[in-house]
Amino acid sequence: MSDEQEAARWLPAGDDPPERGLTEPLGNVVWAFLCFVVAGLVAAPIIALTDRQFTIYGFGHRGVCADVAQNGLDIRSSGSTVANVRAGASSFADSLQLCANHPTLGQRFLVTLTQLPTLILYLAVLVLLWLLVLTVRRHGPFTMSVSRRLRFLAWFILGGTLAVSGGESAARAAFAGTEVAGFGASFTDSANTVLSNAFNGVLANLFPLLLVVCGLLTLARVVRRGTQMRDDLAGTV
Amino acid sequence: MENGAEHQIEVHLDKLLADRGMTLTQLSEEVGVTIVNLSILKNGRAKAIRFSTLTALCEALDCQPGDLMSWRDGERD
Repeated sequence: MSDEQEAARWLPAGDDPPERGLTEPLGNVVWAFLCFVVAGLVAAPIIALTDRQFTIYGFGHRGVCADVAQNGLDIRSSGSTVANVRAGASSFADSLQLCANHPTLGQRFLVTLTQLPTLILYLAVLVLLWLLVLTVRRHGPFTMSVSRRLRFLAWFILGGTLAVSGGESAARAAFAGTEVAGFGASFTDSANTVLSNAFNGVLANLFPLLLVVCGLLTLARVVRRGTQMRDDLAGTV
Repeated sequence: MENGAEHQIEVHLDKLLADRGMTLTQLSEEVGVTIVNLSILKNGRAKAIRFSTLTALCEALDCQPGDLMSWRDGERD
């Protein structure tokens, strides 16, 4: 069934589309974020090419840096990072920044892989949210298309976040391998370090991710049930 | 019968209208229900009927609810 047929089915004859305020504040916030991200995506390459002090997503005139996990790295001294720590207190850095002052193309590419996937994921989620807002505005909140979009959004966020966090962590570890001598004594060690970093990256986001995904999947079921109830109501004379 | 399954209630609105020489438009004006909704009821596509609608129809058509609808045993068809 097409969206138009569906809308005609759920909206009794003569009814106006749902009020715009129903999708707020999400609609305006998503639209503002979308404009901001798209403007940034357009401006960043231009600035990176023209400004000699600016490097973004691994490209520009200066060196490139990436935050890397300490996993697999030998840390000099005791690992204490903050000066003048009081007696009885200690500090440890979970991650540190490694920079290549004269990066090769491969290193630039690895740094790009540590940053860009997150931005692309955010952009894709914003687009999906915007499509969800448009669907609710056109056809109402309780339609099968809204339920389908919510379910797709949930699985997309789950798969996308796992892939992006795992991939970026692996790219960070691979970049660290190009910067630190003896990082992974053999290819197998190096691969293990990259994989364990990827696994840690996935674990770091797992709890809030599961809450969001479960929430969206449940909301999709609620909307589906609401659609059935609206169907019944539309058939009541 | 499962909830939401096809019902087996027949609505005899067209027969009552013909007997009383009324049109759907006249009935619509008298009972305050849209022609669209009365058509849904007449064609057997309604899923439920409110008591207030039933009351208005019985008043306008001077009939009992049983005159307006009857149960058809699907297994005997």
